Amino acid sequence: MKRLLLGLMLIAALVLAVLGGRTISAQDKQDKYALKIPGGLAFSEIRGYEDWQVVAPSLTDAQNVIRVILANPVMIKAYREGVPGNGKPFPDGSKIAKLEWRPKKLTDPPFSASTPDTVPGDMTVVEFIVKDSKRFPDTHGWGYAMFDYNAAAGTFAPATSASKPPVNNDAKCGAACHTLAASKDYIFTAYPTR
Amino acid sequence: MKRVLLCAMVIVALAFAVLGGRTISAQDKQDKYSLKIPGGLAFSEFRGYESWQIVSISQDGPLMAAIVANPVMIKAYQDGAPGNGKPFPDGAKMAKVHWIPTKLQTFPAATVPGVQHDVDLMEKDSKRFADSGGWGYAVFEYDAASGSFRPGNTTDTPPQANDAKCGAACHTIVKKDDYVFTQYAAR
Repeated sequence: MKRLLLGLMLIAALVLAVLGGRTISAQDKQDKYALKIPGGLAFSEIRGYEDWQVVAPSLTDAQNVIRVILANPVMIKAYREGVPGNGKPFPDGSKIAKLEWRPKKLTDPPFSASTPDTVPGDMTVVEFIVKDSKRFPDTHGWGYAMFDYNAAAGTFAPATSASKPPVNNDAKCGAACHTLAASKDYIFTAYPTR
Repeated sequence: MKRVLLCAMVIVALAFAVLGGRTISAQDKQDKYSLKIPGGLAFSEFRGYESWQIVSISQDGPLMAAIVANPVMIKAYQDGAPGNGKPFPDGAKMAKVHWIPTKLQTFPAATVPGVQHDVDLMEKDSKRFADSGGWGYAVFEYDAASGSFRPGNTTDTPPQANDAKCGAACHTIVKKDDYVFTQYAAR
């Protein structure tokens, strides 16, 4: 009987050890959607952006960055109906995310050092903009946010005033820059044919 | 009474004219999904690719590309294919949209898609495409001036012959990745 009890206790201890290990490993995997810009947007406002449709790719050699711009179904529908070229603004509920990576040059055949294929390497940042004309009346209806990605750690962090571009404790980080695209409802990226 | 009849006839005639005009304008807009590579894939096998999820993007020589895949293939990528050693399942389809790059008007430091150049397609069916690694390939070229597609042919780069093998030789380089160059970009 004593031996049986000892056996049971051993099993219970093992089960606890295994469960404990799993808990720790689950904590290691960051919940990015728990992050928030102080005084600004929460990452969870674009939950599921990983599955959004593509608007367009973009790259800037001078900044050593390659990016893709994705949008939620509300915004994709508006693009397809001709917004912003048709003079109508994007509706409230529109959300657009820009993922940036360091470019990686593929030089293996059929590519070469002189004719590389440039593709995404390490991710550096996720930026997003959401339309809510009541919530963001001072920035033409758009709220902005940016989360920096640390590829080595595999974790995100809210961008700060040390980030590029700097992010303060608000939802206005892109507002000044996007004024260049005021004629397109402050959105730089056009929806190309496909 | 005669006047009413005349009026009615004019209205009917106008209605026909308007309807006729609409029919012609509808014909002007090409149905790209009726196109087919002779001896190869039909464009309609990829119907709806405009709404597929993104796999990755690339700048490949003079062209800029977005690579999208159907739900079957996206799920396989997310499950770890092809790095996990498993091939993509039958029914996997992907499309690569190529554009001629242009400078973004409002922010010229950025290079963005200009006019479309073509769309490259591939789909997995291990029985149907048994002699090309299970994958069938097709290219449809886009003419921006007319806003219409045409099946690729042997004058295009890469050449499209009357079969479903236009990418097979090139893609054999990545046989270890189940013949697919593009990796699923972290996001």
